[in-house]
Amino acid sequence: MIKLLILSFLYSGFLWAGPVEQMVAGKRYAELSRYYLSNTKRNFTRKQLILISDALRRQRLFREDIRLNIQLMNKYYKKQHVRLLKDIKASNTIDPDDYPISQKIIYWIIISDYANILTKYEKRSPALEKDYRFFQIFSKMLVDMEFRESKVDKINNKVNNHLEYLTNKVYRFAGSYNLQYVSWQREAILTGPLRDTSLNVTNRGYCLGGDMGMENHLFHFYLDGCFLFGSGGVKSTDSSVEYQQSNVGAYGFKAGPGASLIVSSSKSRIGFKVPVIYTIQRYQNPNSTQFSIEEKSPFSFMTTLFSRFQFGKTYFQTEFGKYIQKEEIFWGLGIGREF
Amino acid sequence: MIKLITFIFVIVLTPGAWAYTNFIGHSYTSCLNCHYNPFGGGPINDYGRAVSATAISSDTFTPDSWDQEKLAYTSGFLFRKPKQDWLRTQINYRGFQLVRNPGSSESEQKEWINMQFDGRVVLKFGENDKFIAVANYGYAPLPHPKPPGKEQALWRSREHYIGYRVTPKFGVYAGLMDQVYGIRVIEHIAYSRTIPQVAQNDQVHGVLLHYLGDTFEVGAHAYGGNLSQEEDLRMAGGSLKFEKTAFSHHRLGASVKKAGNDYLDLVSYSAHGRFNLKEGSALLAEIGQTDRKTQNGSDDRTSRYGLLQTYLRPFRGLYFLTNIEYLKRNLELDDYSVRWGPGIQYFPLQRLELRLDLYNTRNFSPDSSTPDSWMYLFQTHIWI
Repeated sequence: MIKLLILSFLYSGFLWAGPVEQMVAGKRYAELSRYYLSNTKRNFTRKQLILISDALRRQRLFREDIRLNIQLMNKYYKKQHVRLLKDIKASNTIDPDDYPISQKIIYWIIISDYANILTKYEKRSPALEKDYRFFQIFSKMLVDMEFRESKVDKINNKVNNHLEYLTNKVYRFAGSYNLQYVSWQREAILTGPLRDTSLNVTNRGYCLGGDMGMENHLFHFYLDGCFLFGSGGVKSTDSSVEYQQSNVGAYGFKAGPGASLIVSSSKSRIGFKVPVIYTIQRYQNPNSTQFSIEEKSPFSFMTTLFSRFQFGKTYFQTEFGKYIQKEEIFWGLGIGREF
Repeated sequence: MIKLITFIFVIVLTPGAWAYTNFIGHSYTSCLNCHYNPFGGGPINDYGRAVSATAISSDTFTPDSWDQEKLAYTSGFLFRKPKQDWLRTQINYRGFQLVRNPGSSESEQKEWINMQFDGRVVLKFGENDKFIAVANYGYAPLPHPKPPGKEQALWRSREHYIGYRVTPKFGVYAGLMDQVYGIRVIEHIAYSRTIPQVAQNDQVHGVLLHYLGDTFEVGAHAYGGNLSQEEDLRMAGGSLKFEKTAFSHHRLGASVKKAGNDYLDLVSYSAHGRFNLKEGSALLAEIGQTDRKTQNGSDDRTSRYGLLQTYLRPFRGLYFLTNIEYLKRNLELDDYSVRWGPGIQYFPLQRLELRLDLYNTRNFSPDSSTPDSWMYLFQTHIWI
């Protein structure tokens, strides 16, 4: 008999429960959310509103939950809320003990909801900025009331990191000019009556140019080009054939697309380019009419590995690459500045 | 499950993590943070091991349940934090596959070189390791130069010294150590190491004074050469190195060295910079000159060298690097060489380093044009 009485007492709440309590007991949170949203003007009790708030959050209806909690705050803590806002505005000292825990929990729920909303935005917008303002207001209130400080810090960091990401992911125009010290090779053949001999041509000089493209915090896509000027030596690769020239002038250009991955907050980056290189270089033909110099195509394509080390707007860069389907190598060391 | 198996497999084979000069990119301006030797090299301390485990090495293959604390805990010898404070040990192996003229059917040469295999012991006492004794013994290739007929043991100690931090800022060290000069890069074939003779086998017996100020660092080293060598070969002398912190996270410095034996006198001086490009990326640069005078004047010359080493870290454990070196072997001639070496360095786990370097050497001369020479190295570095 006593057991029956105790059990009846325990379940009396349920037996006498309204629809809200019944839906919560049955874990019908979606149904409860719909019920509330179609009856928002109904006079729910405080306990029911708390249960509905939980259901809304489970259903990820954060904006609706914010409205409900503001309703709760205005109904039960309006005076304290207004006093708090006044004290914050006037930079008065705030005593956390002056405010009930339940009020602080409402603020906590609100900033959690705003955090969930803010981290879902995929780009910055006036709506995001508005939500962020409210997030900051409630976050400041919690900080001043010293409630769940480490959790508030964590949630602030999460939101700020996301907003920073939204800013940084946007591609913007980027351009720079630079000067490189370069060395590049060319193909040439010494043709003779008996056989042809390949010539080793190694040039060094400078390449003046720049790049233009689009970059965000992670990637940089661009076109770059420069004018080559320098000189080089020519020598037969066969020691039995004597042919040599020094300081043969060389001019041309190098241009092509590239892509980089930005690896640090200083905007240092690593990437690759696929430029075409065009050079003009006139070799002196040997004295003997039986021999002549055959120059290969002045155009060559390359793939190069590129890295840039940024110090503010000024940068230092390296480039190292190989001609496609050829043995020749190109490298460059330069400085540049963004504009 | 595969992650765990891979992790266990590699852990069994691999000892500790390492600390390098480029770790200025992680905001470590002084080597003393991670090393017992205040100028780097040699065994790393407990803090260095923990940093290597939690910041340098990749955590891709570690179990998801392991947090940073667990990683730091397993960074000790035998994968656990030592139960005492006075003894630390380390076993270290470095070897690489060297290929010269890769792809050439006529002149390609391949060989595996066991560069280093040693055991290290550190005894330390006092608050903040005030007193230390460090010893290292193992296999090491022969030092240079060595006149014909002179022998040198392959199994030897390359480092043994005692140290005393008089104050946290000032320390005195005595014994066999690397010379204090320039940037102590690990590439022992670098011109900046070989030309002034401060490479991996150029340790000397001497006394080193070290001072670490708030924004600067100084080292003064006086030595009598390597006492395990015959007396006429020992390069005795001294060196001085100064570094100043610039813009709070870069370092600029200068070094000078004078040493000689019965056959050779060297005077070297250099300026260098170590630049923190944040999140592990760094740039190292050194330019120097060495005056060399031989006993009979047959090989006197002044050489100039330069080093530019760049490290870019796209994510934890992986570094893209480039070594660019310049050497003008004799300032009286117009010839010079440029060696360009892109590479990748990967720390897949604590205690394992894999590295691939490609080197292209191009010689410039007004009187000739020669083909480039190539080599690549695939290095494995393992330590417990």
